Amino acid sequence: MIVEIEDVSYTYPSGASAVEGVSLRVARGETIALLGQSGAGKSTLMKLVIGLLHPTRGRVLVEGVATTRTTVARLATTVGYVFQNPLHQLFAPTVADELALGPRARRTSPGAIRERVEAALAAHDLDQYRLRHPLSLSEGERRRVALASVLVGEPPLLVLDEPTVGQDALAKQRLGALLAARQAERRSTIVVTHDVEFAAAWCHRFTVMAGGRVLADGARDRVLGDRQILEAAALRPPALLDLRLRLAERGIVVDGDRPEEMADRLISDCRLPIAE
Amino acid sequence: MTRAFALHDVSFRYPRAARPALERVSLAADVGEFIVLAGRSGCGKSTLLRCLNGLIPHLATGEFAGRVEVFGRAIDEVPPHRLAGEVGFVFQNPEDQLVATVVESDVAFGPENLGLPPEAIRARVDAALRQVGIEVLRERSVHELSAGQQQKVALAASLAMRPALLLLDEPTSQLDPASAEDFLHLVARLRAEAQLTVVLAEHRLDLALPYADRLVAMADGQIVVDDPPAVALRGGRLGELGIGLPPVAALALALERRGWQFGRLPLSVDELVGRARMDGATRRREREGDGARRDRARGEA
Repeated sequence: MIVEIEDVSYTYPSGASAVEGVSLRVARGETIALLGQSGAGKSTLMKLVIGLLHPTRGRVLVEGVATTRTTVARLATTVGYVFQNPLHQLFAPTVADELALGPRARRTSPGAIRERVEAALAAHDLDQYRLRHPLSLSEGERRRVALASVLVGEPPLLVLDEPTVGQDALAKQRLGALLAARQAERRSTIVVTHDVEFAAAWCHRFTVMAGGRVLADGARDRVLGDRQILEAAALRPPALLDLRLRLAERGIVVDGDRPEEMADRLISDCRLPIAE
Repeated sequence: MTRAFALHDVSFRYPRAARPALERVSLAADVGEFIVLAGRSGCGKSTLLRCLNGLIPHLATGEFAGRVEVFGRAIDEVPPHRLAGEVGFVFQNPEDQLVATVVESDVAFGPENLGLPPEAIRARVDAALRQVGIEVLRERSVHELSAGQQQKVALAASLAMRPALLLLDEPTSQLDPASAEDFLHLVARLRAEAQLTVVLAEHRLDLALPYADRLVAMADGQIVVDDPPAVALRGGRLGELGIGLPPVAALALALERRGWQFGRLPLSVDELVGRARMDGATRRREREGDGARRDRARGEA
């Protein structure tokens, strides 16, 4: 287990309770979508994992060590966090310096830092921007820099906060491929998101929060196919899963979740006419 | 039909940019049209919108060529403050355009700068808040509103200028799905009520296309597709441009390739199910060997 959240509650100093009695375990190689409305407690829960907040009840263990018994800096070597707003984590005067910040803070040798920065510039298609100021880049490019700067540290657990906001289809595809690659390397990722379509396509475990509690936690169809859960969390099901469930209610079973697969099944199983 | 705007062979290059952001772009719209502008980030959507509200060439530095007309006049002959009364703009991030701390002051900011008398300003603020349905937020601080509410304030502030052309640059990108749907529905309603011409740059085609008359897709500073949504979706070019098709449209197209036919291409599950008459009860009877019914069904197909 890379993270163990044991019956954790958190109440802000103002008295507002944000997380209540949450227990979750994250294993290596898991790709988890953390879903829920604004104010459901998702961000607070993630802040508890990266050690920015400490539980008011229960405990959070990262690689077996309670977050209260270590430092945020040390936790950051295990858990990489990419903020929704890239401006919250870009500090250096050039893109290359930005990518070197993490390894430098971890006292990596200068040669190794250079190597890692070069690899990251290449991997994230940022080479042409190496000497640019991060703030002179477009929103999408800034996001790439923020993500690359976290991935340079090769964190076993990556937390992405609303990574698809404002991203075009191809950028989402790339992000999805990154999640798949991490999973293949047995690294874990938690995606905090409203983007149910993206989550359904790339994540394999779905944790839904509402009112500070975990409402559901499980495989896609069980969680996103449950009307009651979706309603309680004000979520909409992914379109094609929704279609599949509605057809099932009418006695038409269609497997698959990609358009081509579904079309094949509909054509072979369903000889009904299309009316205009 | 009266022409709302026209771009003729418009090119623009930002200072020190290697490539032009727009390259010989021509596009025209009639009054009341709703155009959805799609394309990958960096393809020139925002630059095109900035040519329509006069930020380019009036305020941006760079190399500009071509001609832009808005409501029959060349844009470089209309001063920016006058354009501001005709062309409304809603940005991606509401925080980029909210200027006051209280909602009604923010909505009043534009009309105040037109130098209108106080009662006229009040009337415009009242009307704009009502149009957008946020009268209850009037005295709230803009900073304590949700992103969806803030975007509505930005829209109300634009409407208070009584624009005839409304430009929106990915206005829903910071909103959750329900707020995004709500916002676009509102824009569509306002367009009908106020005879607005709308150009909406948007990645979420499933939410935007139901309202669109035309889908204009851009790549590398050029317009590569300009068709009614169903034609554009069927044209097969959007995928190669890196523009994501709505999942339901992708399924409907896959079904069309296999011989099914849709007239209007469905974009939502409701539409697809409604259109396809995929009736389980019918199918069960078919399985039980109701041959006549099956034959009739085939006949209809």
